[in-house]
Amino acid sequence: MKEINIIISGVGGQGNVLLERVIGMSAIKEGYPVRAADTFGASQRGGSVLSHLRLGSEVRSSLIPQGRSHIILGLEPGEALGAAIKFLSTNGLIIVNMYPTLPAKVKVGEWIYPSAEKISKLLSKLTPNVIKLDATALARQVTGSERPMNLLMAGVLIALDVIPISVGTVKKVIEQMAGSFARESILAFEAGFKFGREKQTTQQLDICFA
Amino acid sequence: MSSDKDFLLGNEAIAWGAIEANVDFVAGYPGTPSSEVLETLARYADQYGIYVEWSTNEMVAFENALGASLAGLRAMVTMKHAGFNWIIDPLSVAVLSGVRGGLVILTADDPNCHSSANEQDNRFYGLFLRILTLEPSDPQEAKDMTVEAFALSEKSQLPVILRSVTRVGHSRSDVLLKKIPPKDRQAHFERDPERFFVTGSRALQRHRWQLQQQPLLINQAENLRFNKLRQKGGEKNCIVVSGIGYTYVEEALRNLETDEAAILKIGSAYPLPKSLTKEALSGKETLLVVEEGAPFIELQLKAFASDLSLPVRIFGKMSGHIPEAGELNVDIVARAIAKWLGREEPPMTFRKDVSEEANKILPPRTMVFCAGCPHTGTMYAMKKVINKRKDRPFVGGDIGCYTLMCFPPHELGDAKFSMGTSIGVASGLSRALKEKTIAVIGDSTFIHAGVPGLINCVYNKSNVTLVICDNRTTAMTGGQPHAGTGFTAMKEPTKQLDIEKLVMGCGVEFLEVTDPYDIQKTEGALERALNYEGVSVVISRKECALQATRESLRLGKKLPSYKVDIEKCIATDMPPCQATCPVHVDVKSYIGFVHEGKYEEALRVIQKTLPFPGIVGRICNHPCEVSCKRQEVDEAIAINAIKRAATEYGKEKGEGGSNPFGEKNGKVAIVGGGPAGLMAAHDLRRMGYKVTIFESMPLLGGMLSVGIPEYRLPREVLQNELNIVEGLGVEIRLNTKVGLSVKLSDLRKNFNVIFLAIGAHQGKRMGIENEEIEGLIDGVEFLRKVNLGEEMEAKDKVVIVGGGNVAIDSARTCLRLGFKEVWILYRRSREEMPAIREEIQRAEEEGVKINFLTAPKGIVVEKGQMKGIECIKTRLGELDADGRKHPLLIEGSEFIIETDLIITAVGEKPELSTFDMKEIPLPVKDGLLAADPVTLETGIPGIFAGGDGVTGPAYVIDALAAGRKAAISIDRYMRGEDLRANRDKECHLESHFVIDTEGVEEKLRQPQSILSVEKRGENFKEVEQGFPMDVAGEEADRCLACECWECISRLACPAMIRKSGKVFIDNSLCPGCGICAQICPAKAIVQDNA
Repeated sequence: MKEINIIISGVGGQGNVLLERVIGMSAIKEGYPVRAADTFGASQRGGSVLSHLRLGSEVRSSLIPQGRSHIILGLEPGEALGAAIKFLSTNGLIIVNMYPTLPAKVKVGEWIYPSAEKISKLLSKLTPNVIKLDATALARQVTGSERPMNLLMAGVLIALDVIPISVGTVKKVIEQMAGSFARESILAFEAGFKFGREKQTTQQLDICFA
Repeated sequence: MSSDKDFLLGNEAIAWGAIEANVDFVAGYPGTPSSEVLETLARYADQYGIYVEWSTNEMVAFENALGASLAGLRAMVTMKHAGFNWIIDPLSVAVLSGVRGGLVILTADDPNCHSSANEQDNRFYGLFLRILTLEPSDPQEAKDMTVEAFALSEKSQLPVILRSVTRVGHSRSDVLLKKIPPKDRQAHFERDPERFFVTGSRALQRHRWQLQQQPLLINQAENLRFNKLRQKGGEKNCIVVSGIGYTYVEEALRNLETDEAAILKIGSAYPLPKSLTKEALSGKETLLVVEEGAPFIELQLKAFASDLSLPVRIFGKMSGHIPEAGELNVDIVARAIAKWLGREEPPMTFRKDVSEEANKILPPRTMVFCAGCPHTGTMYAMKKVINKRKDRPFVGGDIGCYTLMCFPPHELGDAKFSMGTSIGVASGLSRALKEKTIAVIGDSTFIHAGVPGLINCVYNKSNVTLVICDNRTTAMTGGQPHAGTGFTAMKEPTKQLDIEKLVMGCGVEFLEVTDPYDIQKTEGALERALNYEGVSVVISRKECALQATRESLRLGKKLPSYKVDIEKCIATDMPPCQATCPVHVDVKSYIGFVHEGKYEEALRVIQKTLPFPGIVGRICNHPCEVSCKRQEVDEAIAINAIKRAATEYGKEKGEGGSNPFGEKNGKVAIVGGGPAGLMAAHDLRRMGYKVTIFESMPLLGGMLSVGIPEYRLPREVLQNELNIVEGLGVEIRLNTKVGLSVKLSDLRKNFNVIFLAIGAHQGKRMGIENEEIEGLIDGVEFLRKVNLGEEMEAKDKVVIVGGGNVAIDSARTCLRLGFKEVWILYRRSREEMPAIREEIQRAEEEGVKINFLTAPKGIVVEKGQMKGIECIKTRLGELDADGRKHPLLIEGSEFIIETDLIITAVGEKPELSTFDMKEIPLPVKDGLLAADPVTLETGIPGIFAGGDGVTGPAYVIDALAAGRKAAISIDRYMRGEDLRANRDKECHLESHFVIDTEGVEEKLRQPQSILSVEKRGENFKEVEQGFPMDVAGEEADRCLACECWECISRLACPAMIRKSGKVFIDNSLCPGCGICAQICPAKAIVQDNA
């Protein structure tokens, strides 16, 4: 493996950085060099956050060049689309939480949030490999809290066997990092993993890593 | 931590480098992107025996680190690039004395201004001060360089600058950490004033010493393992790259699939490794310099190549290959390399097709204060207070979260520069303008840099109000403690700075402390402070909401939560225009459609509530315009003329013909075919009832037909809309006077319900002598005769008594009939005149002479013939029962106007004499039918009454409202329902909107096309001709589209959501500050105790 590039896109407060750290640390434990960087949009709280996460010995820059992210892990649909148009590689994989977090402009009625259908349509134009789920609802259902939605998304990714990281490694890392939230985090991760495995059997993915 | 790989931020790696280097003493001031270095060290301070402090500012931090270094300890000082500007003063002397223990200065530069006010490149300070300046390319190198930096500093006895950038400090990668060696350093200060007490000739001597150290520094650079040359592939071309640029260059070359360039990687931006650089440049034709920041190395290389007479061409930022503003990335560098190598440049954008579409629909995420941020309260209050003042005082901002005050919705702040500058600049402006100015600063920033400015204000007697937004932390950088918090960086409790005492100690005589969660109190404090001539200080104190929320979670405390009482929320309630309208036409919506040019939609909206828009659009007295909020800016919207435009251009689709309603059992007799009767007939028929109108006159319309002259309401327009009612299947019996032609008791037998809408067609008497004489005619009768086509003889002179529409209509009609002189007597002033304003204006234009404050006293009769009218002047006294000033006669002011025709228009009453009151005793009060104001019941079962017959003469729109009210009552009566329940929406409503008209540009009301006075002459052509389509659109554009989003639009709180025309609070985000509850005009936001 030369490199795998992942963009985690979401908004402040969704747990981008913890997700980046969990996957990154897991990759290190699997023996891969890792680089990552977070780019924050205009706002500190509730603003866009893009986490660039790169595995592989040939990676130098912590920022992924345009059109070279193999995977977009979208914690929010609009943010997933925003990241994908800029960074997704040809036939890349998008895993997207379709639960929207409304920006201030939408909350005050100055802007209409695009419909799920519209976002799905545009994502499908970019790649045939789109996996959609309401990770927020699933996390709430499984753990009673929306908080571990980020790690649920990690579960989906790991289940698809597209990155060389084992379930066991990720769980160990989650236990180390999530502190007092370890239990709900593992629960959410497992729920995501289960969802991913089911998808793997039902949805044909055609992913090409450079 | 043993030898192991960890996934570290560059800043954490720098901290570990310092730990590995056995650092003893660390000081700094928070600043993005540097803060994590000191925070990490603070976390491990105990474990590794390090002293760590957040100092009051960078200068103090540096001075402390310098002190520790003088005692032989290894010291580090951390700051963001802008903080470096603060340490130049002590550092520029410290480089002369030199240091003892290794002293490393971390500067975290911020290309692209991610969280800064400039992009300054601090490597220039290395050259300026002639000290070693290292530039790491990634977290691993950042850690390794930090370790070496201490040793290099000790060897040269000079401080070393470690220049990081956002993308190094805030990147994360696997970092190999080494064992931490044991520590055995002891602090000891060996006195050497010749060296350390730097002054005069000693300073000059030390300068010579520092210059002598330069070869040593170059030597250090030469041997530095972070400087590397790779010649492979680059016989003619070489890329010289430093810092983070190195990662971009390596990857850009890989992506371009080329190795046509040698690479000189620079780790010491100052000084450059001389021989390595010479080796790299020798024999090359071109160089491309890639560096983050200014062309710092590029400049040095140009000097270098010139010194050595190397014929190499140097490209980079100065040649335009690489942009100097903003930060680099692989794509920018790849394009620069491609251009430099003469190859095709990679494209700027990717997936253009989808990008364009996506960017159109994706909502932007803007900068706002956090939910519950205390600054929201401060800024809200400040804006209110400032807006109330006539002067718009200058507001200076400063560095911290509250900087966001410059963005919507607050948009406060006229200038902001750097730490603490708000006060000095406000002071200077106040002096220059000789007026009050405001400075806004945070607690940490005030302590950092504000105090000298405040002292100066007092000392030099400035007229400045300083607002200290004290949120008990350094919030913008992640919540670091400061002198005012009572805790140190290492979490030890300490003496807490008393900001009040500090302020008072500066000599401030006006100081108020407020709680920004208490809006009223904060407004009061700010108002008083601004009114205070001289230096006034307001401390607006509340803990940062993020910090408070975290603390509550930790302690398991429940935060107060708020909810919106949906019933009370008035967000999309009726705007003032609609509320005031007696039938509550949705004005805002149809004006919106007219503005968009959608006239059909506009008309449809009007027709929902108003079946006769063509009539109303011409003759309405439009109370909606009186309540129009636009008047706060300039003039009311021409609502009625826009309504008329909607009717004219909306391709009116008549409601007649089709019968889209289900038939119901129940027959209603309506007595009177005027507006009240017509409206009731229309509504009841559409409900499915069988309706018969009994009209005494030979045509429908009542006053519309026989009262209002044709020049105000063309008969074609009138007839078209009168036809609507007939078209619905309402039976109409003309020339049928109830009481004469048909008895009321018969109607009772044949109909379930009777609605008496008999109007007021009988003129009142003036109550003076000789009123019975020939030559005196009642105004309504006069108008009726003219409208019914009776010939009227034109006289030389007529005097009309009265101030209502009947008087004005009569006067203008007389002119059109050829009367030469038309006089109106009115006993009050113009202000009190009840006629429609525009009508009065038109009458005067046409030549009607109005004698205000003039009452009739008697009719002058000579030989049984009218000769004139005796008048008496009046003056206005106290308010009388109907709220108008009572006219008082001025004795002795009598005068006579000669005339042989007097038209009286002093009020009308209903004609009741035809009813057989013995058979059915209709309730009568003061000459009017009496009916319940809410239900219109007369007290006689099945008989309702409304309109002018009940109220006395009123406006058409009021009669229409009465007709609607009757229809609702009658329908309920038929169904056996409660007549009185939920009727409050029908009456005149109050709009509670607080409409923000601030910043709305003045744009005067469009005038209607008016028939010129000359063209009016002796004809009945329509005078007001409405708006052409484009003008209607223009006028509609003036509508403020009033809605109440006071909470959301003024606070932009992330916890508030606008959904389905109402406001909701997202409790997962709401920390319960309660500001919204205080400002809601409807008091709809309440604490949720559930």
